[in-house]
Amino acid sequence: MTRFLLFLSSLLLICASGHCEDVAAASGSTADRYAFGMDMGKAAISGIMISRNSGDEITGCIINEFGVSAVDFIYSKKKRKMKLTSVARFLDKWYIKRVLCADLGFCLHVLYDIPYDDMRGYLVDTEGDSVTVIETKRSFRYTFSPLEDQPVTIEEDDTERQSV
Amino acid sequence: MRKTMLILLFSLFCQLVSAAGLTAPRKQEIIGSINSAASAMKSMTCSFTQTKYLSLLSDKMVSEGKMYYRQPNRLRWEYTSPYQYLFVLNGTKVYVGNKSRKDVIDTDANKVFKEIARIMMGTVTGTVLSGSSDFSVDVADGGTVWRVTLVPSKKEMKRMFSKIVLSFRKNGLMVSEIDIYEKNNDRTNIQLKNVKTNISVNDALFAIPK
Repeated sequence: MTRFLLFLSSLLLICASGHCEDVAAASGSTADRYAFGMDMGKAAISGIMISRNSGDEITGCIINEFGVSAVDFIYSKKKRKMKLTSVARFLDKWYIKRVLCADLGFCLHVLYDIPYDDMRGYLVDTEGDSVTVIETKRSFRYTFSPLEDQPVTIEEDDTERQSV
Repeated sequence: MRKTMLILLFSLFCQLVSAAGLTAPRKQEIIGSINSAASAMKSMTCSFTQTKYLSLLSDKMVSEGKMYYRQPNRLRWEYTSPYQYLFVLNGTKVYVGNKSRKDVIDTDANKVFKEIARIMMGTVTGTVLSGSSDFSVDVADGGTVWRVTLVPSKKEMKRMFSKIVLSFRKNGLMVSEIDIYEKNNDRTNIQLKNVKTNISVNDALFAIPK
């Protein structure tokens, strides 16, 4: 009986540690965060781009301010190829995705200082830390401004006290 | 030893019984109570913390802000950190904007935005449960909260979300937490704090900026 209880406790401890590691891995981040804007003339998207440059790939997500996902992508630096793993419905048209793949791929080269063979069709403007990439054929503008890491304030919640 | 085993078995039995779920009439009763509490709420203010869990990056994005609500159709949802972004619903007009771009949308002319505004307001106030054919609704006991799971029934909504889970404090029946599960396995958690209800809320907060 004692041995069984000891075994159970050890099992619970291992599971708890595993969970903590998962949480730590999830919360400890080396990802880059940008305030993102995409202006296509008639339509525009604003939000946040979170991206991570690791090894041969740049992985990233573009979400709007409410947290709704617009685009998830994986860019292979070696193959110079962009893969959109998830696209919001209003962007899910082949001609939009084709343009997005090309333009976002170029933007990542600019943001991560990766040499680019062919700059034709693009203009790059930097103002302070912000970067604007203009696709000249369609006059699409992509803007990226680094978001500062701000500490999350842990507010005391007095809702329960008010209810009493 | 035998006594200890009996106590352990009894506790396990109690856990299983409570995990078995609420009866259908009890669920209806809870939903009815939540609807009544939501209808009685004339105004609401709170602060919120929004955490977006990104499955592709195994990372999260945390933002904070303040929310103001006044019956029947005024809502101000303002992000203050780490970016500034404002959503104001005032009657049929919706304003969305940040430093660089502002848009005013007439929800009478834009069905999609009308739905978004209605569901946004409904989820933060709890009124989304009342007579809605937009979702199938289920209720579970979450200890100090009632967990209400909303599964979209309309095609448009189904494409975006797999489910929304609202947590209502048992004491007061107010929304304390919202979890939005997306199709790409991302999740957004919104925690409402310092909730104050039925207090005076300044009209100016819902003015559509020019």
